[in-house]
Amino acid sequence: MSTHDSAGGKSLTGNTSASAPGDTGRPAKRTSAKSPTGPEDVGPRADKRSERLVATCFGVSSLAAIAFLVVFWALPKTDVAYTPLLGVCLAVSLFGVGVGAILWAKKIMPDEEAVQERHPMYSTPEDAAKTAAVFAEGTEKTGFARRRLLRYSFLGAMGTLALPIVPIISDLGVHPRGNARQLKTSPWKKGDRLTTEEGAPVRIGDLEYGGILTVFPNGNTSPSNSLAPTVLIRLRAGENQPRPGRETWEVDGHVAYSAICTHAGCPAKLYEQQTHHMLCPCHQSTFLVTEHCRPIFGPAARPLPQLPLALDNEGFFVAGAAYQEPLGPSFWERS
Amino acid sequence: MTTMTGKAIGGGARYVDERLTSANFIRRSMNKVFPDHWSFMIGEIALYSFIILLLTGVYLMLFFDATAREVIYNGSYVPLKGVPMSEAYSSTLHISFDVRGGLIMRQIHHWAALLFVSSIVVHMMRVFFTGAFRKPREINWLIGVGLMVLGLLEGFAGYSLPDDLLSGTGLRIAYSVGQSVPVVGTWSTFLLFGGNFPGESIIGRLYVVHILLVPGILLALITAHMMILWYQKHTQFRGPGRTEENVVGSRMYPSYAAKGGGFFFLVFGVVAALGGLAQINPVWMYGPFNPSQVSAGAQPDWYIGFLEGSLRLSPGWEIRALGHTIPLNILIPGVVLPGIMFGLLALYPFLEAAFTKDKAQHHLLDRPRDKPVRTSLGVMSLTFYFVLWIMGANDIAAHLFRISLNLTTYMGQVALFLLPPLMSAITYRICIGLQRSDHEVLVHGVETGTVHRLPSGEYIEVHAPVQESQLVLSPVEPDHPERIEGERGPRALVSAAGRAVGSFFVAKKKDTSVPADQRERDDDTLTKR
Repeated sequence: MSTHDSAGGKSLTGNTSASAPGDTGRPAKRTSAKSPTGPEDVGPRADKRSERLVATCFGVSSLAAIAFLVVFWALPKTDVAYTPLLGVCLAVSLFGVGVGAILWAKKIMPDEEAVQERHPMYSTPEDAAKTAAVFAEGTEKTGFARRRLLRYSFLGAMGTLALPIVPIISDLGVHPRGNARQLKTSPWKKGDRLTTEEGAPVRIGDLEYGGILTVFPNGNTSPSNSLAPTVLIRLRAGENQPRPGRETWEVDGHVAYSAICTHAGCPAKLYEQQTHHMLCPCHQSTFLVTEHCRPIFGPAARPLPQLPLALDNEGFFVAGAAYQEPLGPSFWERS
Repeated sequence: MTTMTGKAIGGGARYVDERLTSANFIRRSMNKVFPDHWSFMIGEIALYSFIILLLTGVYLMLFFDATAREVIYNGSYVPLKGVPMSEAYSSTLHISFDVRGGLIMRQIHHWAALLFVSSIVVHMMRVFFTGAFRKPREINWLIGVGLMVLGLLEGFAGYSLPDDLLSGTGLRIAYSVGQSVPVVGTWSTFLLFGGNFPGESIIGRLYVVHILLVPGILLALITAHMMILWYQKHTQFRGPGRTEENVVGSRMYPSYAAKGGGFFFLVFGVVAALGGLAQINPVWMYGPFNPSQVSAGAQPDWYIGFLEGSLRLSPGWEIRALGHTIPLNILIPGVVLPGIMFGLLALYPFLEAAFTKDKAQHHLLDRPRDKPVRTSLGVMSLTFYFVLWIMGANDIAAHLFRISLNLTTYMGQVALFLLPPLMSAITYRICIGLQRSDHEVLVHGVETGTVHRLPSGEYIEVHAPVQESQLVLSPVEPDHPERIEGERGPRALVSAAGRAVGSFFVAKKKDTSVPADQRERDDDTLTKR
């Protein structure tokens, strides 16, 4: 402690034994742990007691840390209590240190209320003016304002230095011109067989009335083909109310729609047979299967795209044509 | 302190001082005064959780393999044996089941991440409602807003890394949100993901974002935040002896160092207990990501919930014109709305200063009741946010309360526009009521609890007059300091009965007023008892 501090220190005008009306006050032990005239929990005995208490906290911490090691090595890591016990040991050993340190500060260290003056949060006008003058002088010496050629060529060079960033960034992904085409290309071609997740082709009779099946084009279940998942649903005869021009897209009550929600791209596959609602669990867009999967609730704005169905000569379901519109969520270049 | 250790410390200090001339700086730092108030500890929780995140994160990095390459799982977790999955998911399972202590590290990391974002948000609420963001602290407010947004991004990147079904669904939605931006959306998502969703690159890139880019910026911003805080000194609540020109509290060394250091271990202890006892993000139950699958009732981490809710509440609007599509049902709730929310949050200090024409510096905090407009604006915004957040779990709520899912959405759409102004009005009224109650104490004195019976039989309660030392004059316009002496109207409020604001659990009773003529503007000037 410097001499300046003690010289500059001022005792406060407050009185520690103030008894204002309704004043419950802070616990007396906090006012001054070193005061010999304080209440019963200060003084040499209480001081010893506090010291033992803090030391106990630190001791418990050490024991818990050792217990952590024991659990870590002695218990098989597959034991159901392994992780919980590690957590308890670690927590107790951390709590021991934390509680000990805080009790140390509260019970052993003398309570103080210090006052520190702030420094002003601004420079004097003279200082500011001097700084401005130094800057102006330096700028004047560069001749930045006068020498137009230097100024423009320098700014030009800084500008052109930004150019190399463009190809570097644009090579992070596939060439942007291909975007729209890739998103607009149907992952299903005419004649692609509808296959289950296991790769088995599907024929009439595989689905009950009201049944639903996720199908992929020709067994391609690769996650990279993320727009391909399609649902095949069997409706009862006469339940489907196709759009004009799509009367031939169903086969014997079977209809197929893209499983990818037109809102944010989650698989919208929660099908309720009674109501023919298809729900996307992400944002709860609901599509009415019997009416060309038009959205009837939630944030989706467009129906799920429909896949025209046909049968191949072996009686398996195939795509009668590719999807007629881009699949999945909307994007700028979509239409 | 024994002479031996004293000599050792002295020798070490001299060694450092002869190289860094550090004695003055270190003395000033040790003498730095921190106000004793519980609400100042919330920001510390954020700092401490960040340290815990760095410690556990480095450990996880040693085992995690952020590649999309497909492998066949062959670890200890039997239900997924033989299942094809990405290396990222497989190594997450390896950490959870085959590395000793790996699961608790993962869970501590995840809990600490939730605590990090939570404490930032609560800390910002403290700063907002007490007006601590006002001049000269606007820069630190902006840094704080940046830290919060980066914290959200960091959390999202982190929980997307395991490449499980839940996180993959989150990424799918994020991709759609990016794609919805007019003109540049498709381009930027293709660049970021390396092609159409899911692409091969995103896990590796998110990993770089999560372990290097964002933590690096966070570290730099936290350092700046702390240095500015250190330099500007803390704000403090009004109380006896507390002025715009001083800070009252305990000194950095030893009292605050012991309390603050101990508090770090308490925070770490809580997170360790949670990591051991409370399961979080059990990725093995979700399975590897598959674009044709999704689990119902799945929820993101809490801080993404408000975006989920705003996407759910959106009506099915879409613009199709001139050969282009603008999906308003994603663009507005997923991009525009959060942009406005964070933008207003960042700009608030400047807006308030402009509207109140307040150019003064403030170091004394407001009590929320004393600034009813700000308080009700804050409650209004929080209500708006809270409705969105609840709606991120409307399916859970519908299930829990056995009401129709569709009904919860309609309720949410109405509540989003109805509740915020309503809560704002209620808050305003509560603030005014509290002000009047303060005024009542000022005029009629403090209840003593002593009841006297007069000879006439009448009972009266004795009220003690408020002593001058207990007056805590509240929002005094800094431009009009004369009001401190003059005004005793509803705007000049008291904290009476010795309940000076300063401690949450224990009332302050000290009168520490320093005579104005003795004040010095010097870092070294400390008064202490």
